[in-house]
Amino acid sequence: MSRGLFAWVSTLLQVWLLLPLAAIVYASVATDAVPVFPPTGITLHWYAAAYDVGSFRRGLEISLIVACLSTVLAMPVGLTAALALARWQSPWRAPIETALMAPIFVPGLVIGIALMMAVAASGLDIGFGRLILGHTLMIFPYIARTTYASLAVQDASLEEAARTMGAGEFRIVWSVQLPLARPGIVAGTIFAFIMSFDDVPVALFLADARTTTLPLAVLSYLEYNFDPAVAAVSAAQVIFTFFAAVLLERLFGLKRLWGAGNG
Amino acid sequence: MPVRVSFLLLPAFAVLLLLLALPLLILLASSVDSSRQPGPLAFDFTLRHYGEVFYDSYYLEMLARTVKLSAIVTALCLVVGYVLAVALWIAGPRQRVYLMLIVVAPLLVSVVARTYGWMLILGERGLINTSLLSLGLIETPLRMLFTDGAIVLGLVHLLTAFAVLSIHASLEKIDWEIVEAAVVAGAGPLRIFAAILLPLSLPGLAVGATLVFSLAMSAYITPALMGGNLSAMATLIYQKFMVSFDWNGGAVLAVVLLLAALIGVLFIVMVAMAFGRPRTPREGAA
Repeated sequence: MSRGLFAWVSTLLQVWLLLPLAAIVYASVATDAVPVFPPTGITLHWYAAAYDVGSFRRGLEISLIVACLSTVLAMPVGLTAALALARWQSPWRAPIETALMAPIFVPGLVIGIALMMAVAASGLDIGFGRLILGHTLMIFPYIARTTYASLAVQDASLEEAARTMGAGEFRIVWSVQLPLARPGIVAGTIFAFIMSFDDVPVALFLADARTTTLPLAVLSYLEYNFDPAVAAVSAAQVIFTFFAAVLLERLFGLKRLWGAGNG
Repeated sequence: MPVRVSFLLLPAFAVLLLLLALPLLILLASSVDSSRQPGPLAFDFTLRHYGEVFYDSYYLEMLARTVKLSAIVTALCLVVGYVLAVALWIAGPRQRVYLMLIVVAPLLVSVVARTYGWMLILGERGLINTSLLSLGLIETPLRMLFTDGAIVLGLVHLLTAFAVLSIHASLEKIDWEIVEAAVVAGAGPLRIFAAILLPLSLPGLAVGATLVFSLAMSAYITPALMGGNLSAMATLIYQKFMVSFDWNGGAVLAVVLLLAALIGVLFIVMVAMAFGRPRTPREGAA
C-alpha cells in the first residue's frame, strides 16, 4: 500500500463524513422541492418557508429556553465538582471522577426512560421541569470535565501566592482559579448548550405536547412531509454548529471535549 | 481541607443520586413489579415480565439482530477510524485542525439533521436515485433507505469519530523514533503497521470499540429513521413505552439492552486483553 493510495482513501472518507451535511446545505438553497442535480436554480425561499412553519418557530423558542435554563443549572453543579476534583488529593479521586462522568456513559434513551418513570412514581407534576432536569443531568459532566482539565494544568504556585498574601479560600477560587480556567469553562458551557439543543433521545421521553423542542418538531414534521423546509432548518443548524466548532477548537481543542482518549 | 472539598461535591452527587441512581433503581424495580404504575407503595415482586420477553422469540431475535448490527458497525468504525486516526497522526498542525473539524462534524450536528441528510441522498426521490434515473442508468428507483445497510451506514458515519479519537490518543503516545528506526531498517508501510502501530494502538482500539459498540446498541434515531420503526431494540423500547404503554415490559427490554451492551463491552475488553496487555484509560472503559 503506497502513500498515494492511503491519501486517496483518507480523502474519500473525509468527503463521506461531510456528505450528508453538504446535501442538507445543497437542498436548502436549491429551488427544486425534490432535490435533483444539477439544481434548476438557487433560492432562499425554503428558509422563509421554514420560518412559516409554526411548530419550528415554537420548537426553536422551547429549545433555546430549555438549553439556556439547563446550562444555567448545570454550571454551578459542574464548576463545584471540578473545583473539588482539582483540590482533592485522595485515592478516591479516580472513582469519583468516573462516577461524575456516568451520565455520559448511560445511553440517553435510558436516562429519558428512567427519569420519566421516576417523575411518574413521585406523583409530582413538574411539567417543563422534567426536560430541564434531564438535560441538566446529561450536560453537567461536560462542564465539569473541561473546567477540571483547565484547573489541573494551573500553576499551583499562583494559589500559594494568593494564600500567602492573605486571600481566603473563596477569594482564591473566585479571583485566581476560575478566571484562569475561563477557556475550559466557556468551552464546556458552549458544548453543554449544543448537547442540550441537539438532544433527541432524552427529550423523546421527557417532552410533552407543550414542550416539543426543535429537533422533535423537525422529527414529527418529517413523518408527513419531505420538503426542503427541513433542509433549511437543518442547514441553519449546520452553519451555526460549524462556527461553534471552530470556536471550541480555538478555546479548548475538539479532541479533548469527548475525552474518549484522554491521555 | 477535606471537609470543604466534599462539600463542593454535594451538588453533583445530589444530581447524580436524585436524577440518575434513583431513577435507574425505579426502572429496575419496575421490571420486576407486578403493578403497572411505578411507585414504592404497591411494589409486588414478580419475574413475569422477564418470562414474557424470554418466551417470545421475537424479542430475542430483535436482540440478536441489534447485537449483530452493532458488531458490524463496530468493526467498520475501527477500520475507517484507523485510517483517519493515522491521517490525523501524520498531518501537519494546520491540516490537523481541519481534519479534526471534519471528524467531529457529524457529532456536533443534531441527529435529526444528519439523518435527514442521508435521506436526501439515499431516499426513493433522493439525489442518487434522481441522478441515476435522469441518466437512464436505472428505470425504477433503487431501494436504499429502510434497509439494514442504511442503518449500518448511518451509525458508522455517526460513531466513527469515537474510534478516531480513541485510536489517535494511542498513536500519539508512540515514539516517532521507533517508526524512523523501522524505516531505516527497511520496513515497508504494511510491516510498520503490523509490527509497530497495531500492537501499540491496541488500547485505543479497545476503548474505541467499547464506546462504539455500546453507543450503537442504544442508538434510537438512526435506526428509526433509516431502518423503519421496528428495526432495533431501541426502537422497540420506544414503542413499548410510548405506543403500547407497557412500562413493565419496556423496563425489562431496557434492562436487557443495558446488560447486553455491558456483556459486549466486557467481551471486547477480554479480546483486547488476550491480544496484548492494554492499559485501558480508566474513564474510557467505564
